[in-house]
Amino acid sequence: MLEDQRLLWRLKRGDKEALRGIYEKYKDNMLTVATSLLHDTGSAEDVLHDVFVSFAMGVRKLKLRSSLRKYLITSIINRVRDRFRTRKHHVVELDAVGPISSDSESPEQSAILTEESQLLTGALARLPLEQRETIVLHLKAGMKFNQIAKMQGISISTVQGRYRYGLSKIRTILNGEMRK
Amino acid sequence: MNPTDNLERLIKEFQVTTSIETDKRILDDAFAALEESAREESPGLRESMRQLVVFPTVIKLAAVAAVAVVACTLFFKALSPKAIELGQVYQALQKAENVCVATYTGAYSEPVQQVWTSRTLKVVMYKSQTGAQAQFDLFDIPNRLKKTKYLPSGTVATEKLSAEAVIRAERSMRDVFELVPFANIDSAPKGSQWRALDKFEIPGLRPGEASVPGTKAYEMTWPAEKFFYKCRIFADAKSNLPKRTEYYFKEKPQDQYKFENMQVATYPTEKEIKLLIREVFGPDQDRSGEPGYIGTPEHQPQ
Repeated sequence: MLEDQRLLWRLKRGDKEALRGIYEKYKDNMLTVATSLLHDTGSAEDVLHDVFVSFAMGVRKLKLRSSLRKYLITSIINRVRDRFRTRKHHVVELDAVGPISSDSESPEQSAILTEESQLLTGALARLPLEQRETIVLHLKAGMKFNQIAKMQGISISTVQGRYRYGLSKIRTILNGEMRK
Repeated sequence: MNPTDNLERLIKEFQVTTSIETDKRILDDAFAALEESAREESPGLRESMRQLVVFPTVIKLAAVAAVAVVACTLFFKALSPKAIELGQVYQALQKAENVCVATYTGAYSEPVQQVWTSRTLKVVMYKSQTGAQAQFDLFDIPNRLKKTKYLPSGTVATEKLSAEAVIRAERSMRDVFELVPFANIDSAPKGSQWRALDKFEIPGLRPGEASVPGTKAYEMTWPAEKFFYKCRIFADAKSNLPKRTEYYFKEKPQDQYKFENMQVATYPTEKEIKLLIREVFGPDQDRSGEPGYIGTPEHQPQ
């Protein structure tokens, strides 16, 4: 937190090394959150790119009300939501058996994600976006349930319900995959 | 561990890493965006550019050439023969073993933050907030620990530093502590100027603080921002280490600079830093939470 303040302080004065420092500190976490939600490293990298370039563009006017990490993760979530809206990403329901949704089938994707990760993100991709987002925000972005509730404008019990139900679905999906 | 724990752990451990090519692409674009925003958001710079455009071409070229010559002469070079260059301040800071930096803003007479860095002990301690609400954060690299002490309760929380956090802490130790405005001299934007100040050019920040004893004052200005920035560095006449750095800003070239914040530096000994840490977090054993704490040994090998 204090380190972030120092980096932002420098960045606002035009220090490029501070921008590099922030990128190096948060890029993997941001990319992992985006990949978990999109199940596609290519699209996730595009989201990371867009968020970070926007951040660089607007950082001089930025007045943080929370932590830098939360700000960047929220930006990733918002950008992913935009992507779902504009590209009409469809959410694959558990009952609708079919191929895992993905924007690309690039060979690089296979190279980066291990088989276990592929299974996991594949299972996540089959969840409704709300459940997926809740699980990712809690486990990958380290947000507490009350923070997620505040962010999504819903009650904590709804968040907890989505989380439990989402995990249960993932377990069912993974067990099914293992039996194949 | 139940199946839910396993699944949660699996998701927590899932990590995607960017490729070097992706890093380069994103950083290049982010740097370009940063520069573009500086151009777009600087009304003073826009005004300056507009004025430049209305000059006849010959005058414009002559003016640009003159500015370039003056800038080359002034940038990183002091006017007085006894003065030092900015690079010497960076060099002195990079050699400093132990540094304490206190940050003051206009509204507070007490520092809003203090940071003690010991490059020899490999520890960094922050004190944020003031008075009864103060909080201390100690990054102990040899023990890979972060300890936080909250006042007034005196509660101490300990957590292990991840490998990444250790790398970041080590990197922060190599920096220059905001006593100079940029992490390294190459990051200074084009158009930056550095010059020595004469005594009469140094108005007091507060009564009785017109100058810092034993120092020589310098001023650096740079325009690559929404605002125009200026910092005034009081560097020790012997060691070249900054003892105080004041930051000012203004929105337009014709405005007066406004005070933003000030860093006051002292250079304690290793022993003094050890004592301070002990005072805050208790004896070594208590700090590590385990016997055999070796982060800050009492007796250094000769």
